[in-house]
This record gives sequence, structure tokens and C-alpha cells, in this order.
Amino acid sequence: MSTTPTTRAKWELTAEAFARLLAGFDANPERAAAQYESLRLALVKFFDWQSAMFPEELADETFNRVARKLDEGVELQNATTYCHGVARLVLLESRKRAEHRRAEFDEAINVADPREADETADDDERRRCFDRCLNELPPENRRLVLSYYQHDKRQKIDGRQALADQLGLPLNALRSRVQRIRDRLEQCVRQCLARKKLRG
Amino acid sequence: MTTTTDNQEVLMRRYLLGELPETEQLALEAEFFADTNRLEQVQNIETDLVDEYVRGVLSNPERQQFEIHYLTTPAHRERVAFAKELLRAANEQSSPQSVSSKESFWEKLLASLRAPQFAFGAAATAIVLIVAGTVWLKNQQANWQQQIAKSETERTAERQRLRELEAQLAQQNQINSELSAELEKLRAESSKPTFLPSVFSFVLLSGVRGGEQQTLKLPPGAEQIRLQIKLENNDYSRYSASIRAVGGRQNLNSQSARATSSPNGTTVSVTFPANKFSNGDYILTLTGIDPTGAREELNRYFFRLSK
Repeated sequence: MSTTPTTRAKWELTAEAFARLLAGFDANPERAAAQYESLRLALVKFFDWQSAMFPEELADETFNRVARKLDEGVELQNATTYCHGVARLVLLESRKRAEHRRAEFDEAINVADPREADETADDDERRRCFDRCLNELPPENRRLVLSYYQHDKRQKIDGRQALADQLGLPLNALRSRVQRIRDRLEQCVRQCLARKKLRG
Repeated sequence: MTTTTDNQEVLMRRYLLGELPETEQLALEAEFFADTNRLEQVQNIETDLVDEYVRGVLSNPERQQFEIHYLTTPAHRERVAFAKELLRAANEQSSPQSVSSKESFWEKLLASLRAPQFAFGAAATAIVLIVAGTVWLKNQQANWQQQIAKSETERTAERQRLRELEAQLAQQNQINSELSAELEKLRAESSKPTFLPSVFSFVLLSGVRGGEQQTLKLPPGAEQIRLQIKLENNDYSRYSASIRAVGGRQNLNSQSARATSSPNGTTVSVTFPANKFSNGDYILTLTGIDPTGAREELNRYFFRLSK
């Protein structure tokens, strides 16, 4: 079953409505675009951490609703707070929809969420993708990410401090750098698995 | 300061584990919506939680809460699987000579030279010893570095061989599992005849849609209805179908299925239990699912079913 959000009315996000949405964030187009990007990331993470099934779609749904409100003449006092409020509503609605559908489908047999059925990739496939993506990293990034995650507990703290000292970075900056490499690696593995699925 | 940071980390961990009361949730969310640094901190805590779960170092209550709350979505389970791979690869890499161990050696040496017995009355001897010691140590260090480099090369080659063997083994396992699956499929197919009479297949042709209607006559005793839908293009990795009676509200959904190609064209087959149908008109909605899980409605087919 899908919990994909459905559009309640026929209102659609047009180019003009999107421009109004950006203008609602900031009068300066560059700052508005930057705020849109960071807000979108926050929305996606918010829905993800709330265990919603389709975080990216729900984030877009949130923006659509905010844009619609602007279209209707609502003025935003604080775009961030407003988007957060709308996102909470979108989350509640998506949970209700999911519960409703679950109850409806409990009666029918032979029903399965295709994501549930086909959700996890085969371990061997994942390992092949991981090794390939790891080898595609620049050597210094590969060494850094592997060294960073090498040890447990006390050894780990000492090891990370030694790494930070070697690179002349504060520990927090090292952590951010490693997190970015890790995110890139994780994205590469996700895409690799998706390509393999596509080839069937 | 440290306590404040610790408290914030505890708060974020509880948020990610779904343990935070709503007011505190809202406050934390407001912070990370407004501040990308805060968002990054929560992301880092999430990474820590996932890694600690994989390393098996979460406390029992946290582990249970992680499994109940965090592992409920496929995306989170995939993140955990990724972390397992990353930590495996990190552990496989042997630790290089760290700077700190070298420093501790030198520190030790300097500390011994700073001892009172050297500090008073033996300065000249100490200098001679230091110079001689430094020369000797430099030679030793060069030797050690050569040895380390040599053993590092050997270890790298060994690891490479191990990886190749692992890859071969994985490939062999893959072939074995494919062969087993094929064998299982053949076995299942060979045992099917006893059930075949209760499955009735119908082909929904691409031409029969829109206003036209196809009538399917279902014989008595039929247990399953298999509907084969001809596709004009095979653009999706999987397909699913849902059926709704005209005027009805309830949907019957199929398992997702892959399209199969033959000289007669490409089709996707979906099966439904026959007892869910009565005489009447139905609408089948075919949906394509791409590898990211995004869905698109492709077509609707109208048919009449009579028993």
C-alpha cells in the first residue's frame, strides 16, 4: 500500500506560485534559494526521523501547501516556523492515511506493500556496491573515512583525536568532513543498488 | 559547557528514538528548522546511534527502542545495513602507525633525560648521549620504516588476495543461489498441476480500455484469477495493480510484479483471490514503480466479470 500524499484539490504549483514561495522566504533571490534548500533538507530529515514512508514527497507536499496559502493571500511572518507547522499537519495526515489504508487492507488477503516486499537489497549485492563505491572515492577520502571508523570506545576517541591532530583540524570539523564523505558513499551505494534493481 | 552539550546530545538521541515528549520535540524541531548547524548535529547523533547499534554497544533499553522506533522504515534499515558495511571495511583496514605512539616514545625519552640525575652535573655527558642516541635512533627509525613499508606492502597484497577470494566466493554464492532459486522454481512449477485447474488466466488487451469493456467468464471452482496485462513499453522495474468494483470503495491490491517479455510482447501478470469478486463491473488500475519506489499510474482497464 502506498502512503503517497494525494492532492486534495486541483491547485497545482505553477512557476509563478513557486516564485511567490521563494519571495516569501526572502526578498533577495539568492538568499531565498539558499533558504529553500536548507528548509527542504530540514523537512526531509524531519519526516525521515518521524519514520514517514516518503520523506521527500511529504517535504514537497509541505511546500505546495505553503505556496498555496501564499497564493490565497496569506502573508508569512516567519517562513521557517510556518513551514514547520504545516509539516506537522502533513505528517499527521499521512499517518492517518496510512492507518486508514492498513485497516482497509486488513480485510483483503494477498495484499502487500511493494516497498515492504522488496525493501532490502541482497547482502552480497550491497557489499559489491559498497566496495565499488569505496574504491571510487579519492584515496585520501577513503583512508580518512576508514581510519575514522576504525576503533571502538576509548581507542576510537584517541584515534579520532590523533587524526584531527594530523590534519590540523578541530575534532568537530573532522567529524563534519567525514560525515560528508560518508553521505556521499551512502548515496553512491543507494544509487548502485537502485541500478541493479532496475536491471533486475 | 560540556554538560550542556551532553544534555543536548541526550535530547537528540531521545528525539531520534521517539522518546521525547511533544513539547520538547517541537522545541528541538524549531531549532533544527531554523539552524543548519543544529540539523547537522542531529544528523551526527543519528549516525552515532546507527553505528552504536551496529557495534552492539547500545544499552538494552536504547537498543529495544531503536528497534521498535527507528528500524520501522526500509530507509532506516538500509542505513543500518550500510553502516555494517562501512564498519566492516574500517575494521578490515589495519591501523597505521599513529602519530601519538611516536610522540609517546619521544616524550618518554625526553622525560628520562629531564630526570634530576641528568639535570645536575652531567649535562655534557647528556648532550653526548643525546647526540649519539639521536643518530642511533635515526638509523633505527630508517630501518623500522623500511621494515614497516615492506610488511605494509605484503599486508596490502594479502588483503587484495583476500578481497579477490571473497569476491569470487560471493560470485559463486550468487550463482549457487540463482541455481537454487531456478531449481526451486522448476520444482514448484512441476508440482503446480494439482492447483492449475483452480487458476484462471485472462488477458487484458491494451486495446480494450477506456469506454470499451471486456467480459471475463469465471468458471465455478476457480480459486485464483490471473490477469495478464499487455504493456506497450516496459519502463518500470516493477508494477502493481489494484482493482475496485465500479461504484465500490474498497481496493484489492496485487503484489508487485516484474514484466516478462516473449515474442508475443511484454506482459505483467497479477493474481487475485477469486472469492473477492462477484458479478459486476471492475476497474483495474496499473501502476509502475521505479527503483526509488516512486509510483505512477499508467492505465486503467475496465472489465465485466460473471460467474
